[in-house]
Amino acid sequence: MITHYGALLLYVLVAFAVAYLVASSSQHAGPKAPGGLKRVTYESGIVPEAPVKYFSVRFYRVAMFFMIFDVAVMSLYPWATSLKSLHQAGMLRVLAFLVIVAMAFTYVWNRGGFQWD
Amino acid sequence: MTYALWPEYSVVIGVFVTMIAVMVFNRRSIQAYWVGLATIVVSGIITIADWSSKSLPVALYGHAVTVDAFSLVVNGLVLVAAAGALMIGWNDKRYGPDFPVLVLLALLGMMVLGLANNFVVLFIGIELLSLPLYILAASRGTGESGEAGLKYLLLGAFSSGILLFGLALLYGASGTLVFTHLDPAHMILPLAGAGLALTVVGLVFKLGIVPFHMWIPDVYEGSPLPVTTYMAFGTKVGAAAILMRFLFFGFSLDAGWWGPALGYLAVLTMVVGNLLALAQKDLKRLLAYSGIANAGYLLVGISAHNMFGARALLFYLLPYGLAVLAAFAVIQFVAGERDSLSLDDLTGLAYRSPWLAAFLTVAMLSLAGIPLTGGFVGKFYLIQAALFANQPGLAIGLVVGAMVGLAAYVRPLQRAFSKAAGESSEPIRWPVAGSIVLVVAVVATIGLGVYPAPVVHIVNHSAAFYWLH
Repeated sequence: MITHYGALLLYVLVAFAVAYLVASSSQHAGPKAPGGLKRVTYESGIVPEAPVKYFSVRFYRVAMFFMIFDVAVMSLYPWATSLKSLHQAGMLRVLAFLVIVAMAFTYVWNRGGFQWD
Repeated sequence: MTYALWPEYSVVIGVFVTMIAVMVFNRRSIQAYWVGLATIVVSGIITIADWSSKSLPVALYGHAVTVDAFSLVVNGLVLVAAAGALMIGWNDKRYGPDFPVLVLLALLGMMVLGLANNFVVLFIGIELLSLPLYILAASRGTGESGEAGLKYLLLGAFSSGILLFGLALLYGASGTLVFTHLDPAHMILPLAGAGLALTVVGLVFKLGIVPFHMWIPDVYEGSPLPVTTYMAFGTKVGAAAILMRFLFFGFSLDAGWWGPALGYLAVLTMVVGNLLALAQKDLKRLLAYSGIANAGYLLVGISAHNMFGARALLFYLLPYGLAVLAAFAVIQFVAGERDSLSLDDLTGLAYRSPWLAAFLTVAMLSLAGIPLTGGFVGKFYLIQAALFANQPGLAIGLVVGAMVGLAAYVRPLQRAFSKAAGESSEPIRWPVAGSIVLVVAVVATIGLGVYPAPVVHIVNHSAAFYWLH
């Protein structure tokens, strides 16, 4: 007899198996093109070199802004799925939230946060 | 319709208007500062209106926030801190155009800490307070300011992690997020104990209690002066308020879990902070160690765990903050274009500018707790609270700490009143906004020492209500 916890255990095992299969399949089946930037530890667009005196943070700045606004927009998803039961009040609250996000976006834009140079 | 949360809402609106002002007008112009100051004034007026409102206390959003006399007093204190920081750094081009926006955002975090009654709101408040301050600490760019910002960010993130882990354990042990619903008698014990310890460690990290104080001197020294003022006053108000509400509401019946530990930490903090203040050559570092020692005094009010302790803590925050505002305003005037000031730079201040020397004297004597200043009355109430709680050790520790502190605070005065070596020095400029802060802070410090009754009445009401909740 499989109890609820047994089902959970089965789920964990299947999850690990799938994760292992997917991860190893790309290693075994995928084409290989070693060399160049592919060999660096973190593929962040910046070649690591030492000694570093000044370090450009441009990539990380863009990545950070992307993360922030991405999370903000992602939180709209649960709202959209339950919009019918939230009625007008839910609509207004999300509008307020969107105004806050848009305001922050405008501010970052205006202050030059998205400029690469 | 309740207006309970409008002090906070008005700050949110003010942040937006300030951002628009920064964007619309020339970026380094003064309009954003005026909008920021107007926001603080409006929020203060609403706070005062709420104080006499009949609809308080009120718990909103499923007990997530509680607006009561305590949160309103905290509102008032952090509004004073924000106004002081904004005016000391008034239209100073060195701190960048974002300065007023970030000050208002940190203000919002401090206000949230005053009314949080829920783990999630607590954490949001701590982060809302910390994130703008990380940026403000680094707002002078590279060099010492950047170093201070980075140190603050790394250690602050570390302490936030500890705090979050503690809150998660407490939630796991109790099954509720609301302070007032915590029932230590029905918690899973090891989990609850570990969670409480980690949460308290995370909070006293922000407050700057001794084993967790390492970041304070470096961050205070490197940060721009108005930001240091803001951290020394506002952050301590927020952290002390949330620590008190968390422990008193959540673990009131189990004071044995945390009372003795906080008592030992308080004594250690008072003695170590004042001793290290003795050895400082830089005035900002001296005031940083003074801030550590004063955090120890605040902790006395919490670990006394009675109504007198709550009252003493709330009262002490005001003279401490006013003395900090006055001292940093004097440093800002004397330092001028520079960013820090050594004790030797004060030499001959009494001859260069007698008024500044007099104001610095009042601030330092209030920090030391000399009668006729607000600091004396505050320490008096703290000792009273410790004695009423049958903890004479706390009172003795406070007195010993204050005696050592007196020596530390008199050292800059001794320099200020001794003759300079004869070199001619440039005259000291008095910026208008900073002068207003300085004069108001000094007058209020003396006023609190001579006639503390109105403020005592307010904090009595706040603490009494708080205790009988």
